[in-house]
Amino acid sequence: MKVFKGKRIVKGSAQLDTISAPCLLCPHSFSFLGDIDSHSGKIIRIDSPCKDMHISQQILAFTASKGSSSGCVILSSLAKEGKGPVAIITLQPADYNLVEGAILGEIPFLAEIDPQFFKEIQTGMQITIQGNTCTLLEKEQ
Amino acid sequence: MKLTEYEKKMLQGEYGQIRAKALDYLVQFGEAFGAEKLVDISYSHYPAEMAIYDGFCEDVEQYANQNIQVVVPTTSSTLCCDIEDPSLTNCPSELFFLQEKTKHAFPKMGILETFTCTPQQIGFVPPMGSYISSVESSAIIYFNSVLGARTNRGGLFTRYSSITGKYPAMGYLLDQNRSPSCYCELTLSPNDLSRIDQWSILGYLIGEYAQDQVPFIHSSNKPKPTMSQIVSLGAAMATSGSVTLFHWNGITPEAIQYDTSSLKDLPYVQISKKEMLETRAKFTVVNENQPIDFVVLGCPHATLSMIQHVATKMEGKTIHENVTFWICTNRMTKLQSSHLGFTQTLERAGIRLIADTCPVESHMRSNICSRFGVPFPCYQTMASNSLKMLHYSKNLLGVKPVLLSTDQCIESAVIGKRVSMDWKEDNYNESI
Repeated sequence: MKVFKGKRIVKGSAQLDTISAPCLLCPHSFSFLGDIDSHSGKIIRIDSPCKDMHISQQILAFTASKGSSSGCVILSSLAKEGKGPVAIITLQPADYNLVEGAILGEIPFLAEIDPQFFKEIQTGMQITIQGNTCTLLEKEQ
Repeated sequence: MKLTEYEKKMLQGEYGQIRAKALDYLVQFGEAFGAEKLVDISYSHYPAEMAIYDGFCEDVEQYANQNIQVVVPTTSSTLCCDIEDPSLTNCPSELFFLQEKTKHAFPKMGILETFTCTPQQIGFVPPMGSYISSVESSAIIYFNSVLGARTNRGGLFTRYSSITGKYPAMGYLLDQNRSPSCYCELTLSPNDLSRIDQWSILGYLIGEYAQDQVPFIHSSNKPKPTMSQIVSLGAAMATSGSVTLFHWNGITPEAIQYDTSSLKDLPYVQISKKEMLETRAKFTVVNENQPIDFVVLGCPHATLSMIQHVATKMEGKTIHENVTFWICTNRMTKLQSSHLGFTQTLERAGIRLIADTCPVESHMRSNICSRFGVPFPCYQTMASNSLKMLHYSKNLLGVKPVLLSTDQCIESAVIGKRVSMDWKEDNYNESI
């Protein structure tokens, strides 16, 4: 079992202290305006290795949030339509703008994750967020 | 979080359940980041509540019908069409009717119908040190850096700050988070920073490097940017990164607090003309003399001076029949432009002066086009002097980007083809 420590900024829905889902790992900074289709949740950024993947039902991990302040609007809009991620993990400290969207969408947000996470986790691996940590079971490696 | 008696009463519902819920969100938000208290804000720039996002117009209508009012001066951000004349952007009527709900709701709530990304250009200039709450990344970085007002990268919680007058004391509101955390040394000549597109490229490069840090910019030359240039610089930094505040000795007011020599140990980047040209090349994928069908100026919203410049250049001329040319601005500037006769000159030239919106916020995104049966992409090739506009349009509108100077955009619009891309100064001196 591998454990990566982070800082839980948004708890998310009260029933959801523990979240397990496949990881969708974007090894780059991410702008909810421009990098994602705001209706379907599909990644549209041309130079992303995750292009055409959907964030719905995934734990979305990226290095840092950037770009337009519409990011918060798009995240909460996707959550409202049931097309948002089940949780967000970032390498950098949480972006105030995106955290607003996560609070409104009740999306757990784990920031400042151990940088080792981006070296050892790949898209599709089942990971679990509990409290301030993210865990990968050995069988998933 | 320590609350005042007034805040406790508000949280308990003494000023209505809507305010209680709004304050509860702000307290949750502050506690997530360890804020110790709330502060009073003096101004708010409210979210657009755009019709292109599901449910947002309905939300604001519902809010307004509950007789809730803002408690601080509040301006509003951009919509998805020119609400006075939606035909200017060919906005689908169904989308316009939805967007109209905002137009009716905002006055009821006491929100000013400014519908712009640049409230600072129409007189909303909060004083240095004041706490504010703002959406729109280009306005946020301007408020923080150029004016020295204090705001984080606001989003939908700006709604809650507007109706409570409160925001958590955290992030860029606090002295300790406003110090430079990286250093950008410019080795650029005055000729490299004479045009809006060059300032936009510089901002994009700094944003790519700085990401969420606070860059301190140093240049042995002392450029004196115009309003459009400094706005373009910040807008681009907040596009390629999430820069919220920058300092530049001799240009921004807080930079004087820092001794340049003591900052040399910070993470460091040098930016020269070489990097500027490389970035321009990435955003110019159409060769000289190849057709251009869409030209956009006014990202962020154009100043009256820029409109005057285009009108003067286009006097007696028309744009190519295959070209659509938008200048996006705010409604107050459009009124001034009409009063001075510039709008009429532009119309005669075939140029549309559009208020309240811009291409990226319009119906031209692929998902909105498909919803309303509009063929996508609406245009093949977009020329603009703004990297912010081109960065977002590339993915969202499916256009090929062409980064040009203001004058090169105008000249390309006249011949319907991309003109030569030299690096020399435009014949454009912004006066206001």
